[in-house]
Amino acid sequence: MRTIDVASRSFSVVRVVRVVRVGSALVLGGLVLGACNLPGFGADRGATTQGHSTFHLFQFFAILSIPVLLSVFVPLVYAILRFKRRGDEIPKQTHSHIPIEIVYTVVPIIIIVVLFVFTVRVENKVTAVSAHPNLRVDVTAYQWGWKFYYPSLGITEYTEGNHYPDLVLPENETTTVRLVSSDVVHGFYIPAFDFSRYALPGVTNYFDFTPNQVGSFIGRCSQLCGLYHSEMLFHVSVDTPAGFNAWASSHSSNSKGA
Amino acid sequence: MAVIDDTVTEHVVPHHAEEPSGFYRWLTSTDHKVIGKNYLYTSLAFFFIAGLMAVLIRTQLFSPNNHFVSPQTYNELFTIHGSMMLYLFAGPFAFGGVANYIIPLQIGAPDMAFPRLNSLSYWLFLTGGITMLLGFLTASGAAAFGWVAYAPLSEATNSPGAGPDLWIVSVALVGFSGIFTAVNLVTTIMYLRAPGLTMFRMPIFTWNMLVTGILILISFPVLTAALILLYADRHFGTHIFTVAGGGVPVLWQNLFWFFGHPEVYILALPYFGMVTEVIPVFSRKPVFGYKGLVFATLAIAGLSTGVWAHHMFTTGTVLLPFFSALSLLIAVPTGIKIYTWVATMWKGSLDFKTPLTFSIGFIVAFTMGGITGVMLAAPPIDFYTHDTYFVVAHFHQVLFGSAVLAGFAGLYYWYPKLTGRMYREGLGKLHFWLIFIGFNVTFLPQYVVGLRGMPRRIAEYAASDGFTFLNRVSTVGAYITAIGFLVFIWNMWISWRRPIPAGDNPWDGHTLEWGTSSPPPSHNFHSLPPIRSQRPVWDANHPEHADYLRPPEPSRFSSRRDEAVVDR
Amino acid sequence: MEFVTQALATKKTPREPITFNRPSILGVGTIVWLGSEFMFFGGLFAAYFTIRAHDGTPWPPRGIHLDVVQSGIFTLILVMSSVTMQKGVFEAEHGRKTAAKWWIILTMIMGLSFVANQAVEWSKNAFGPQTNAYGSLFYMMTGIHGLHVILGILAMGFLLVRMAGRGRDPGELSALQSVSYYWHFVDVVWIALYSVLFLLH
Ligand code: HEA
Ligand code: HEA
Ligand code: CUA
Ligand SMILES: [Cu+2]
Repeated sequence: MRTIDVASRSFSVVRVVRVVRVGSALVLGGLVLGACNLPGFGADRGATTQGHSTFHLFQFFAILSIPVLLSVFVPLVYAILRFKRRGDEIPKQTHSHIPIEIVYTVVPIIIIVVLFVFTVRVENKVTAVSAHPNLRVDVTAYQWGWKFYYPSLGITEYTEGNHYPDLVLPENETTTVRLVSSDVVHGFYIPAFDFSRYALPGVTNYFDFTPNQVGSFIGRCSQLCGLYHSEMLFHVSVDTPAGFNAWASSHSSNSKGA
Repeated sequence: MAVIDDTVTEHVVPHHAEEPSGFYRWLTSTDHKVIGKNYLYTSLAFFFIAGLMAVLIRTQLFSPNNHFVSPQTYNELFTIHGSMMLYLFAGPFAFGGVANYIIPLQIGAPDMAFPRLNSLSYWLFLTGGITMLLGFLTASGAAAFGWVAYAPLSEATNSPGAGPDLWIVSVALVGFSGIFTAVNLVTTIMYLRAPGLTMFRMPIFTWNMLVTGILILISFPVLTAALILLYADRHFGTHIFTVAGGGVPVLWQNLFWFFGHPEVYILALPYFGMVTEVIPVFSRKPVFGYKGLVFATLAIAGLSTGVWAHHMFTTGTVLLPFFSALSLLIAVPTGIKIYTWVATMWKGSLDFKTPLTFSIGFIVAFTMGGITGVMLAAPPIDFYTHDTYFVVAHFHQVLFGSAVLAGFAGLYYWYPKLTGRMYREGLGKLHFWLIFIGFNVTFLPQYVVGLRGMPRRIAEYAASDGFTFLNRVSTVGAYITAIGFLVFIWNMWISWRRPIPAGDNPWDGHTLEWGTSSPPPSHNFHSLPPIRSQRPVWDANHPEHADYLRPPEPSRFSSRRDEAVVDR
Repeated sequence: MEFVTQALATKKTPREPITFNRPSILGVGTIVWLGSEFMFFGGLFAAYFTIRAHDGTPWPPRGIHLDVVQSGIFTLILVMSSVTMQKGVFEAEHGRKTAAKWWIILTMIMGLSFVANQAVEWSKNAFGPQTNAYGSLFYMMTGIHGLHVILGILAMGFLLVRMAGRGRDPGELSALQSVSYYWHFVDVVWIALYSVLFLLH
């Protein structure tokens, strides 16, 4: 194990960083293995590899918040029950107690550092953009609809009246989305992927999806964009690579909303 | 009524004849107490109006595909609900109302530093508030772009008409009012403290208002600048926030949140201050860890100017780890405060009067809301929950927790001081339980519905979305809350019509405002008790337990500077 | 921090009888308020630099020419007007009211000439606020600053009216000092604006 050569080194910052890294990797590994059996606290489990890491991060935060909540509520409830005013005598006038003050400052700092380390790890994973994606989709948001363009296939899907366009993605393959807006700010949001990103006028955004389960999901606009913001929906269909190819060849001829 | 007045007030002051009596004199008064009360009444009125809008919002969301209001009206409703709650209620209630009234009393000053500026602030605020409401009367309707007014949705092409202009003018006016009040507060606290009241003897509420004032001075002007630029874009054809012509839409978000995030602490710190006054008094103990609290307040203020982009994680244009780290860090000083309050209650002699009950409700709500805030500070989790009801639940827990639960704790606490009368304790408790239950029933389901993917600011959802049940629960909660406020109004009414005299110091208060009559005479004090610690009135009433008797604590944090706190 | 006590402690023994040696409450209030003004202009500068950073093309855009020398001269005049203003304060502090008033009038004239020059330059410019984002920023920033200069001149006008009487109005001096703080501030902002808009390319 790596821990052995770490232990043989003299104490240094490097070593501390190592220990934190190895330790957090172990904890994260353990969590990832065990987490699927833990409760999801109402969160979506994330139908992409990226979204699934987000889900685990959420679980981790939720679990850690239980002892934090208890650290406030237990003494609070105890105080409410135990220290009710009984008579007129004046309680001891305590102004401070330095050890306790240090504990309730330092322990949260430690928790925060741990949370931050995990956050950065997941964040790097979720925001990574593959240099060689299997597929590219150009998404344009506008009031109040979406246009999905597959440059390699020549397929275009867009909102037409009450018809919501379909974003078709192959399972277990990495798709890079290129996101722009042609008017105001919109939010490209797929709840089942545990992910959203702004479509900002003047800014081009890239991000990856690697869906890991076949199914159809709903996509929404999350950022207020005017009158029909609530109706700016789309469908997401994740298909097997074979199914995706079949869809692609049947659509590349008539590139329109189905 | 069973209000125990167990303190012997030293001197009974005859009720002052010099107080303005006529309606006109009341309107034109520059007495901070009159202006403070005006602020309180006005901001509470705005709270009720904005609350009523919330009830309409919830009614619309009661059923899927509901047509109770049109999408346009819905967008106007939440825009004005949010704007009114933040700009016209939560802020002005705290620093225009409570602070204006209480700060000069707490520091033993006869009035604010600039009484006429104070009066101007109030009139700017009132004008601004009316301006915002006038939007509903225009042909195009009120502003409908959310309280954050993201460009380019707020530009003339996407939001034409006078309603949005009125919103801009209104927020600018209220902003000026806030800046003037902040100038007044900061100057008053720095300049007009009574002899003996050193910085480290100031009550925590005063400390928090000083820091809030500084935060206002830092953040509001940036909003004013942004509003002026937006107005120019709309009317003078400039290209600051439009892509055409080379402007940058995301600049609006940066400017807005540079204001907007400190703003949420501007709305929290005063309320932290209020509960820090209430909890010690009703625990009959000094506040625990005074210096830690001061330090935490300063740390929160410092950090809060560097975290604005946590509202912009999903823009893809910000440095995620930096803003995430600073946002997470705010949990530490805020946690210090929470633990300090609990420690103050520890081994105290808790008297569960309405103010303390509300303060405990605040701690519960705020801790939960704060912890979900910490989740949002993790960019991946924010990608998932941004602009969903998860965020709505987060900020209502902290905002309702501060501005309403802690705010009403403060209101009940100082009500006898303001009026000389006592509210009805039973009705106060009923008010608490109704709104505490109602509020949790409203907002806890919103966390779940947010995680299930319900975006904010949607006028309608479909039956197939699976949001219906939780929304129904939430709506019922809002109705319960509304009933709670009717109880409050009844309480105020009955206490006004059938007054019960409260006495000058009904709570055995600690700080200087309890050392004068209720309500105070027009120049606040006929005589001041000697100020030799943080609790001059307590010292005077309990000489055997006086703070200045205690030996300087031997800690490595207290340097020579602290010994100056103990009087020579 | 302990403003009151400190100010009292640092009381000097001056050679001449100075009527004033402790920051007046109005002065403190003015300085606090100028803090907010600082943030206000900070917001404008932030807007400028953000837009500049987002702009891929040369900055300022082609076809925009500014007269660096002419505005440089008037920048100098504005800077000098801070000196004359301060001179007025010193005179007033020593009780020489008439001299103080003349220094204020001189300051007003210098301020007015600055505003007049700005108007001339605006009319000469080949670009307007609607031309592009650069133009928008240029006019908004110089315009808002110009408004501050005009406000300062108005305030000096009020000061003169207030100082017209023969009697010794104790508030008069602190009002003068406060206006001088404001004037110095407006001046410093202009130096920053001039450097950013005219010199930095
Ligand atoms: C009173 C107002 C208030 C307060 C105090 C807070 C407090 C916090 N807020 Fe909140 N927030 C808002 C009002 C407020 N917020 C509003 C209005 C919005 C939405 C704006 C809009 O878009 O319309 C928002 C949105 C918002 C977002 C953006 C969400 C999004 O739009 O996607 C984020 C992200 O980081 C965030 C984070 C935080 C954090 C980390 C805190 C922290 O300060 C919380 C700290 C407190 C605690 C953590 C609890 C007590 C601490 C302990 C018991 C110690 C131990 C704890 C740990 C070790 C975790 N808030
Ligand atoms: C201090 C701040 C504050 C407070 C206290 C509240 C209080 C409430 N809020 Fe608010 N809310 C915001 C600040 C606040 N809100 C903000 C900033 C937004 C975002 C806006 C945006 O998206 O841009 C928002 C958005 C918001 C939404 C989301 C809308 C959307 O995204 O589509 C919802 C939905 O449920 C909601 C509900 C409520 C409810 C039910 C209450 C209740 O707790 C209200 C309780 C109060 C009452 C019910 C008053 C009752 C009074 C009477 C009955 C007396 C009447 C008598 C007379 C007039 C004489 N709010
Ligand atoms: Cu597009 Cu909301
Ligand atoms: Cu924030």
